[in-house]
Amino acid sequence: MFTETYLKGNSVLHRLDPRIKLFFLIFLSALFFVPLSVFKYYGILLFIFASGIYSAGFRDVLKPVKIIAPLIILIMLLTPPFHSEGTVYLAINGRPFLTSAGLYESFHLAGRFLGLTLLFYIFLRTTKIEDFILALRFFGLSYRMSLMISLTVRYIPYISSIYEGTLDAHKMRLTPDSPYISKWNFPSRFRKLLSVLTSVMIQAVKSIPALAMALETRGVGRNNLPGRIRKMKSLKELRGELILSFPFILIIVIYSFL
Amino acid sequence: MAAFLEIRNLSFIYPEYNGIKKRYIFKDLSLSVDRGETAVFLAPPESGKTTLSRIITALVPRYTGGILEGEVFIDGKDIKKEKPYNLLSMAGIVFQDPEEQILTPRVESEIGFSLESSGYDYDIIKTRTDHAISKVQIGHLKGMNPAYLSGGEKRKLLFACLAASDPELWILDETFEEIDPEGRIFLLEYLKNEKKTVLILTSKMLDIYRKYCGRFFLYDGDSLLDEKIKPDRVFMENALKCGVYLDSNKLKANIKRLPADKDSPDSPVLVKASGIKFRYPDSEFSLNIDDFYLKSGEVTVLLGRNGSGKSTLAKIISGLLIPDRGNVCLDNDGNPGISSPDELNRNTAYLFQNPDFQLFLPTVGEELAFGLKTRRIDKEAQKKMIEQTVSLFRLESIDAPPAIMSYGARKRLQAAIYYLLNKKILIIDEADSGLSFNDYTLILKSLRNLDPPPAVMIISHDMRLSAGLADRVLIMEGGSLLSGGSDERFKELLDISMAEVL
Repeated sequence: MFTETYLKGNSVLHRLDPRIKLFFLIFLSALFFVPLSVFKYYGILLFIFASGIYSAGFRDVLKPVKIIAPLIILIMLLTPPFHSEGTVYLAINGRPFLTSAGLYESFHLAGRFLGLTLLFYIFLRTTKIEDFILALRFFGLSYRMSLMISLTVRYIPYISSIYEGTLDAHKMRLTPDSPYISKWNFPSRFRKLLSVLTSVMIQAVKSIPALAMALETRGVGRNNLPGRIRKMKSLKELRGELILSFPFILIIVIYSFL
Repeated sequence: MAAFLEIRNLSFIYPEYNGIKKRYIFKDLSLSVDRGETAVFLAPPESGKTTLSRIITALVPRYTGGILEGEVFIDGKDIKKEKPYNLLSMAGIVFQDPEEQILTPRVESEIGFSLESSGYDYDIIKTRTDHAISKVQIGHLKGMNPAYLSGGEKRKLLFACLAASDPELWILDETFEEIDPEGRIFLLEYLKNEKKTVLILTSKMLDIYRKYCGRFFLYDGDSLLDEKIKPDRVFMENALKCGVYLDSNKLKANIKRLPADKDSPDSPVLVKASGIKFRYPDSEFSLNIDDFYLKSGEVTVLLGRNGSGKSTLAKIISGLLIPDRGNVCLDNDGNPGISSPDELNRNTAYLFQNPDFQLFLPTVGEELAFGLKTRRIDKEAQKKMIEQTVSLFRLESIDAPPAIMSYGARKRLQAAIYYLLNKKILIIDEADSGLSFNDYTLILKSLRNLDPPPAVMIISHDMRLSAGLADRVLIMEGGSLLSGGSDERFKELLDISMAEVL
């Protein structure tokens, strides 16, 4: 069961203040939208990947890569035909199908997509969601908005755990006489999926009033200003981390723009 | 002493739905609980305990609709005029289903949630959260995601949430059923020492309540049958009739032959697990089982503290979890061999804590017919079987919609589905919460009487209930099975579990 994104650990990234991490997240994300050369993109990507291996481990960093692999393949296949400039490597009926510009652009897009995915994945893997929300609140996010994000984060895995529980329960409804469904029998698999999704939907819908009740019994709705359950480091305490982060930013800027 | 909680002539009716008749949940119910008193409201399942708990905390009819008559006062304040969020310092509630109440991905955040919404400073929230963690003794859960906790641990966590927000009145809806015996004693002791006003709503008269509770209400679903400071013989006889208590004489005879780690030698071993090792990702808990088996027709009760690995073992036996090492062998008509998870799934009936995982069709009849489709039975015979099953499991009607049936009725429906599937292994995983003794024994007897008799594995903290049914008792601790007989720790834990009953 994948119930949360945070992975326990003690790496520098785990210990880094969430406000600084949030800054790095925005800064590095922005770099993927700046017109840099593809080699610089992949240099940044390599840096992110190495940070991920260091803080979460090689296998863990591969998880999101595996998930988005089909999309990367689609980008690599579908982007080149839209670019006819540059050296033509492959033409069909005289129409350029694979050109140097097309290849360059497909690597560009794939690198951006992979980079952003890894960036957000590593951020969420090394940052507790409460710390992330606390950082957002530091930058001006309202209590209600932060509560909404927190609940969404809590309920996405909750729905996913309902899905897994339902899937298990439906397996239990089989008997030795029940027909075995081949993985290629799509209509039967679809019917099975539909029954599981119906159970999940019933429970998800039923949980809405329960969630509202739970929130009100815990004081949500009161007029007073909310307190803070977690405390962030003061700017004075953060000084060391800020000083150590600065050279990193400088190196990345120099690498990217010079 | 002045009543802290006072309910006067309370009547309530839910809005009508298709297949569910409109009826009074309460009619002219009156009761009161004094300040500092721990009271038990005993009533069979589906008689309105959860509704009552939510009326007291101003959640019903706010969220459900329906007609509410009569008056509810907490410390002289009319609850009908209050909003739930303004009652924080006055009344707190632990829901029957903890999943519905947990809001955050971290134990400490959950405990401090109410304090945060009340506007307390960080230092006060921190102090009170730490204090609650230490008072409820859940320090070992610090830093964890509540999604990874067992049912009992989740209840302890919600208990700690109340300890932190510290309301005067505690409403506990079936809170103690899934907590281990040691935990129950500890928490009831805590309430007594803190001199809180407590209303425990339950469908089971646990023996331990007699020691710690000062007032008992017995409600049969229509009226308040009895109210006692100390339950006397008449009270207990009525409780027995309502199905919220079990006859202890019958039980004691059975308890005397426990610990029955000596199994019945004649029954064949149906399923055997050897060299099992399992660890959840990102968790420090690990399961290590050298040897475990279940025999046909035998009832094995698995005891152990919350989080000791009972459900994990049950899921491995039923093929829902695949062990990292070791294997599970099912004797399939005299052909024992390593079984695939799919084979184990097809031969196991697993009564989940949450019956909703299994239900997806619009009516009871369709739910029951779904499993029969694969059994090649003609339509007339199918119809007859379904009707008999509806009656045997006391379900409302064939046309009743499961989605809005009560919790207990949905659990009976889940059991009825398995009854028609006729499986070899039956696992009942803390499924007694929200069920009366009568319902629980009805489910178990009906499923045990199948031909051939299944191997039954019960996970429960209710020794009164389990001891009366067990052929064999096993105890788990820290992910391992304690060996019976010679193991001192086994004896110690069994004594703790039995102390409640004896």
